[in-house]
Amino acid sequence: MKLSLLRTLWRPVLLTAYFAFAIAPILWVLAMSLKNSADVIATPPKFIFQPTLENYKAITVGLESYSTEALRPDFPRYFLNTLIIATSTVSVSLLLGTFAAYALARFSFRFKEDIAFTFLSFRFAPELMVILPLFVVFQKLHWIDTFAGLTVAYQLITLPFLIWVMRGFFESIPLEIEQAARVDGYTWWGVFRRVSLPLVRPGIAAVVILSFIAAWNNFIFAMILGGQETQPITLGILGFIGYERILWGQMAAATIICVIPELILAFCIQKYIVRGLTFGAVKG
Amino acid sequence: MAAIVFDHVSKRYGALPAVDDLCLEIRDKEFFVILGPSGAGKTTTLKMVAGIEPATGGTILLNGRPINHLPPEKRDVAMVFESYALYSHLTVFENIAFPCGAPGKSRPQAAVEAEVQRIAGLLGLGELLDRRPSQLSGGQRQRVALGRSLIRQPAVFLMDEPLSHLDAKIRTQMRAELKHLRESINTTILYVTHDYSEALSLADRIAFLYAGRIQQVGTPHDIYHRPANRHIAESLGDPPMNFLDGVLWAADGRVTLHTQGRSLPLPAAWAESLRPWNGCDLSIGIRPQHLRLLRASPGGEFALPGRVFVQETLGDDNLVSVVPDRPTVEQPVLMVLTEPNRVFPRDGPVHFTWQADQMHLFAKDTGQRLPGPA
Repeated sequence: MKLSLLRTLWRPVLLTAYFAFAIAPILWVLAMSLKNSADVIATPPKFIFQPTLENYKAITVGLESYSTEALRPDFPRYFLNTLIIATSTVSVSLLLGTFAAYALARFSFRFKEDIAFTFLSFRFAPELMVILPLFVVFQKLHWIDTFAGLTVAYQLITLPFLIWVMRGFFESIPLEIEQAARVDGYTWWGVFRRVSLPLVRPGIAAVVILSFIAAWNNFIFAMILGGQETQPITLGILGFIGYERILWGQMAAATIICVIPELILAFCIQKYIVRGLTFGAVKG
Repeated sequence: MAAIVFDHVSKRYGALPAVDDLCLEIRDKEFFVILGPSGAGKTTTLKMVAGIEPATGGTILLNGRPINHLPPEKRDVAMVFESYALYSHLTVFENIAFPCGAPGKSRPQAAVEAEVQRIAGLLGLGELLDRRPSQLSGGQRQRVALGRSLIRQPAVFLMDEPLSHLDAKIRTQMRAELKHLRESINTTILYVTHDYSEALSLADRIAFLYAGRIQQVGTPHDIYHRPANRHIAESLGDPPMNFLDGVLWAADGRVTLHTQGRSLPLPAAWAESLRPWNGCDLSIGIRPQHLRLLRASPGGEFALPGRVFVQETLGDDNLVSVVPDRPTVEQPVLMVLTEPNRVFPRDGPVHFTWQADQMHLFAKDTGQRLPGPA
């Protein structure tokens, strides 16, 4: 009796525990973003308070009190910078990575496995180890603080991952489907576009989300290789920690806004992440 | 117009020959079947014609022009894959219509739709056009694969076991359908199967392929009634052909076959052609329907003694297994088809015999057919 109760309950209990662990900090930050500056630093923390949108107003359009200092909030610019960097990074990775992955999955050429391994090895070293040599190179090329430069640097993070995941997806397409499409009159490119690509759509959806998140949240590359012109949110948020005071409420509001694009992307794309798009193609 | 010629075509995977020095001529509008056990190189042969597998030696000619260098999309062939190879992201309709979207092949949308409907009706897929391949049974998928090739008007149809995954009833039905269809499409068909009855029923001519080599090319009648070697004889017919060991004596214008301690005199007309095999060890092949069972010894006539192992009812016939008095490891029992009203009790003594002109003689060592008997 007791045992069977345990059996039915362990799953919801564990799930609830994990959910609480994962969601609690986000709820905390959400609450913080809605508090006024006094409530934020109240001890013990206040769970019941008068919510205010003052923090959101401050970081997006600016507060009255700032206008005397002629300071417009920087946050919208950071947000735009991040959007540019993340989008261009994912686009470039997708364009290069999909073809590279297809080549590694389907063609046979010399040093194929070595090349594949080299791509993977980009991820072995922590970012901090490559950042200094990269900084020197970028300085010589005058790529510091440019969107193009950051997009190139970010390929180190997203491209290897994308290639390895997409290679697996391409390999799971039965060879005979592509052969059949060739016999049906399509060129290599036609087959790739009409058959192979649609069949790996779930893979593309997955890598787009994960690469976008990785690029969106990157900190170290942006800090060393970026600058005033290209500063993303991850660095911008640090700006709320000032010499005189820490703007906890605004920082929390900025964090919450940061999460929104990732959420929207995930919601839009998740319907493509389905298992087994190649089911039924060839006899099992 | 499409004749295919294989001119000393070979395919090796590393050192392993899959198809070895294939020479074959398939005539225009012929229904040509390549028959053979699995692993014989049948599919490889088809894929070389389709351009999916490059030949490692020799030339393949389509209408007299070498096509070795052409990519698959320029060869103007349609292929049905054994594994179906359906486009699983497309519906049945889109699968069948897929070849119509190829560059240079586009037709008006309305014409494509009408054609898909016509083919779907032909193959009994009319209700399924909106489904995806994952929602279909194996037989339905195979029909979609067939439909996808039928929508084209290629120079050659290549079919790789297109009926193998259908259940027995639909298979017979589709076989008739294919044979019927063949009149209307009026195109060369190169068809691969391991099912001898399919080959016999469909083919104008059959090539028997074994271990990458052609064993025999001929009409279904030739292949069935005059198999070139023991291997082909064994592969055609169900229940399979029976084999007995024997020795041939040919001297003084008379030929005699010795087997199981008895002698079967052969027609004197064979003496001349069989003389080179005088004293040779032979395999005697007799089909189950050509063996005759006798309850009592026929006296002076040739008959071999044995006893009944078991009797099975097949409906129209009975199948009797007989253990000869001198069974061999290779052929411990002989299969005999008899009329359904005859009853042979288990372990009962019987004699069995056959007509000389209905047996097949093969050299014991090489398995080659002897030229003598018809």
